[in-house]
Amino acid sequence: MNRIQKQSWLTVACFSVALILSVIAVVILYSRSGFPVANAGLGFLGFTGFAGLGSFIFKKDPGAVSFDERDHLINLKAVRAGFGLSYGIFIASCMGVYTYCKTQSIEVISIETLPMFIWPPFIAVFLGHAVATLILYGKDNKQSEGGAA
Amino acid sequence: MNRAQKVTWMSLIGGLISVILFGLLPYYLLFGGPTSEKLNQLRIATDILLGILGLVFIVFFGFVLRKKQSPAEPEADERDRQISKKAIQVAFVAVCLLMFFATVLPMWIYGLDSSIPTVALPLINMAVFLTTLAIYNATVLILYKIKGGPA
Repeated sequence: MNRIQKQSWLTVACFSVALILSVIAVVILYSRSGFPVANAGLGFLGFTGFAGLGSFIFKKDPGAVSFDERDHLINLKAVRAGFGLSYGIFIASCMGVYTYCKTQSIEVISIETLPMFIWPPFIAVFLGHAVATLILYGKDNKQSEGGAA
Repeated sequence: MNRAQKVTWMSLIGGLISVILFGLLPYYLLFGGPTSEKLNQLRIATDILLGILGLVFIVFFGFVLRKKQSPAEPEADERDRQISKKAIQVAFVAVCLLMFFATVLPMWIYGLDSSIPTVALPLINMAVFLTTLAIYNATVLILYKIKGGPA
């Protein structure tokens, strides 16, 4: 397992823990006090920041070549997958809220809800990148020596 | 001018026409202050325009792009793929910045206490999409110019 894979595992672990704790906290707080108090549960998303420590925890691999052409290609594909997923989620969340409001005959929404649309894509870009990296390395390792990355 | 450049020009012109249509729509309908009736008209017009745009994109990317101009037309070479890859990277960076500004700027301009019509959501979506498309197309054309491709 190389440095990128280790960092990706750390990202997946941190984001999963943060998302699960946030959902649990929001559900518990909502059942007790309702919104907006339940929004405090989203504070657990701060755990995602620990994923950024991966660069310091996992040192560069020893050897002359620590990041070869295949790693570059996998990283590029994973970045594109992450950004693609992020944009897809942005479209889905915007159109989802619009459709919901249309069915409920809601004409206006508070402007404070707009920045909420940026958080799911923001999480998706990092999580998507990490998951795609792990999948692509997993796929590549199954192929024979010299196979396409 | 090769196939990729022709497609890019077509896409750029189509995108600009869509930007003008989507930009003029709220301007005309909400001129003189938004009312419930005007917002309803804007919602219907947005739905129709989104449907037309979706249909055009399906036809354009599903059928027109697949058809070769002549049997002798070559497939995309390594340089075309490299330009496309770079343009995609630029577009992804642009989409992130646009998403951020599209969601934060209205709050900054109108203040925290204001509200926006729900029909603004698909319009924001389309604005981000069309601007990203324009940036992608412009990047492709600029890269062909820089790398000295066929004029």
